[in-house]
Amino acid sequence: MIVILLFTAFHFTFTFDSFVTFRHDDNEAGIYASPILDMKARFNSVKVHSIGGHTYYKYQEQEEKEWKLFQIYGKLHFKGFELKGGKSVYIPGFPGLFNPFSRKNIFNTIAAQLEGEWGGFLRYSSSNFTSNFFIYRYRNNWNEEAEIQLDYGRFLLGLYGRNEKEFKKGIFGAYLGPWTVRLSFFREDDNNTLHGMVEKNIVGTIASLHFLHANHKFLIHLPGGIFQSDFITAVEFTFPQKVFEIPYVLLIYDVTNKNTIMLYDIKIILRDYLKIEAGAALYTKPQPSGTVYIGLELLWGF
Amino acid sequence: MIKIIFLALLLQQVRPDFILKKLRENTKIESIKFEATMEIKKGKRRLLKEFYGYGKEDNFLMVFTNPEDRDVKYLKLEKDLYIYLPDIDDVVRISGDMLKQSLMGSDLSYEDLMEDDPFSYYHAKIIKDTVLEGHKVYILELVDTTGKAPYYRVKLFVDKEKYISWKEELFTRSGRKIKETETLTVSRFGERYYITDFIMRDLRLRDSSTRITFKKLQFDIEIPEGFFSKETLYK
Repeated sequence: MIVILLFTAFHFTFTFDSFVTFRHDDNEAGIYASPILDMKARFNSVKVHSIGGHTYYKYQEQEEKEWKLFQIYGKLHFKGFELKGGKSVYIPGFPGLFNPFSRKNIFNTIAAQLEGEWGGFLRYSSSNFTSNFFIYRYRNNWNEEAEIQLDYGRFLLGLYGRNEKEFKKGIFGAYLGPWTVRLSFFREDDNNTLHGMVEKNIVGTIASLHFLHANHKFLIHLPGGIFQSDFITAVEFTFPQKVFEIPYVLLIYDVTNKNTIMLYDIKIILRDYLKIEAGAALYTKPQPSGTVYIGLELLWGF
Repeated sequence: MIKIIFLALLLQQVRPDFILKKLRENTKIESIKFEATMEIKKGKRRLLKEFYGYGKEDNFLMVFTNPEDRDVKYLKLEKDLYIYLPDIDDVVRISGDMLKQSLMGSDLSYEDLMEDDPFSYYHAKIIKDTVLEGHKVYILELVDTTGKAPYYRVKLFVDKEKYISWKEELFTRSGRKIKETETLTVSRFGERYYITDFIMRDLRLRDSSTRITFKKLQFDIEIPEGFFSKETLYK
C-alpha cells in the first residue's frame, strides 16, 4: 500500500477471456482460456506498466498449449524523448492486416500469446517527425530496430531497418485523404514482402482492400487454422458506429492455393464489464470446412 | 409607416448576426479543463465512459479513464486528429473521410469534436421567436456559406437571455435532418453561460442517443506551451 501511495496514479484491470471452438473437418472441440492482469502506475514523468497472464489452449486429441504473458517496463519522458526499458511485447513494425498488434478482432488477447523481449526503446516525436529506436534480446542475440516517420500534410513517409545477423530494411508510405492508401515494402535476406491497402469510409462502414505479395511463404493465423501463402488479396469490413453488437467481416482470396477464406466475427457487449464474442471461419481448401467459436470476456478494474 | 417597415427590415438583418455573435462568444473558448461522462444508449442498453481533457484554441486532448478504454487518448492538433492506443503504445492519425466516423460508437463523429468555432461557417437568419419548454428562444437558421461546414444547414433554438442553444437540428444539403442535440443543463461561469449537459442523437441510427455530462469545468486556465503535442500522447 505504501508503494501505491508513492504514485500519483495507480490503476489495474483484470480480464478473463474464455472460448470454445469446434472444427468441422475433424469434429474436434477446443478450449481457450486467458486471465490477464494489467497494472499501470505513474509518478510525475515516470510510468510503470506491467501485464501478467496465462493463455491455455487445447484441442480434444492434441497436446495442451500454454503461453505465458509477462511484460513490465518503465517509461521516462523528457522534452520530446521517451526512454522505455524492460520486458515488452511491443515490437515496432508495419501495422497491417496480419499484424496482431494493430488488429485485435479475434480472441481479443492475441498479444497475450507473446512473452515479450528484454530491451530498451528510445523514441523522439514532434508534430511532423517520429523516430523509434529499439534494442532487444531475442534468442540470446541482441537485435536493433529503427524506424523514422515523416508527416507532411496528408502524406506520411517512413523508413524501417532491423539488424539481426544481417541488416533488413523497409519503406512505407501513406496518403490520408478522402481515401486512405498505405503501401509498405520490406526486404529480409532475399525475401521481399509488399503490402498495399486502400481504405474508405462508406456510410458508417470502413471497407479496406488489401494485397500482400511476397517471394516467400508467410503464415496467416485464423481461428481453427494456420495457412501458408505467398500472395493473397483480402477485403475487410469494420463498423465503427456499432457499439453493442460489433461485427467484423474478413474475406481472403489466397491466390497461391486458390483458397477462399471467410471470417465473420461479432462481439456483443452485455454490460460495461461483460462481452460475448462469437464467429465462424470458413475455408474452401483443401476441402470445404470451417471452425465456429464462442466465448466471453470479463473485465474489471479501477 | 415606411420608417417602421424599414426599421423592421433593418432589425431582421442585424439581429441574426448579433445573436450568432453572442452565441459564438459563449461557445468559443480560450482554454478549458474538464471532466465528463459519455453515456451511449441504444434502445434500453447503455454504456458509460469517463474522460477528462484540456482544450486551447484549435487544439484539445481527451483521455479516457473507464477501465475498458483506460488511457485511450484523442489529440486534436489544428486540422488533424491523433489517437493513442495503449495496447500498441502507438499513435494512429485520422484525417480525411475517416473523420466522419463515430467517436467510440457514440452519436458524435470525430468531426463534431474538431470544430473549435463551429458556427463560424454560417450565415444566419431568424425564422421566428417562440417558447421551447419554458425558455424564450429565437429560432435561428444557419446556412453554410463556405462549403467547409460538416452540416450544410443548422436550425438553432437560442435562449433570448443566455445566448446558448437549447436545441440544434443539423441538416444535409438535400434537406435531410441527420442529427439533433438537446441541452439539459446550462451553467454560469462568470459572465459566460455554457452547456454542461446535453444529448446528441444521430437520426440515421435507430433509437440511439449519446449524453455528455461535464462533471467539472474550468475556463481560462494556464496550459503550458507545447502541451498539445504527440509527446503528450505517449506519456
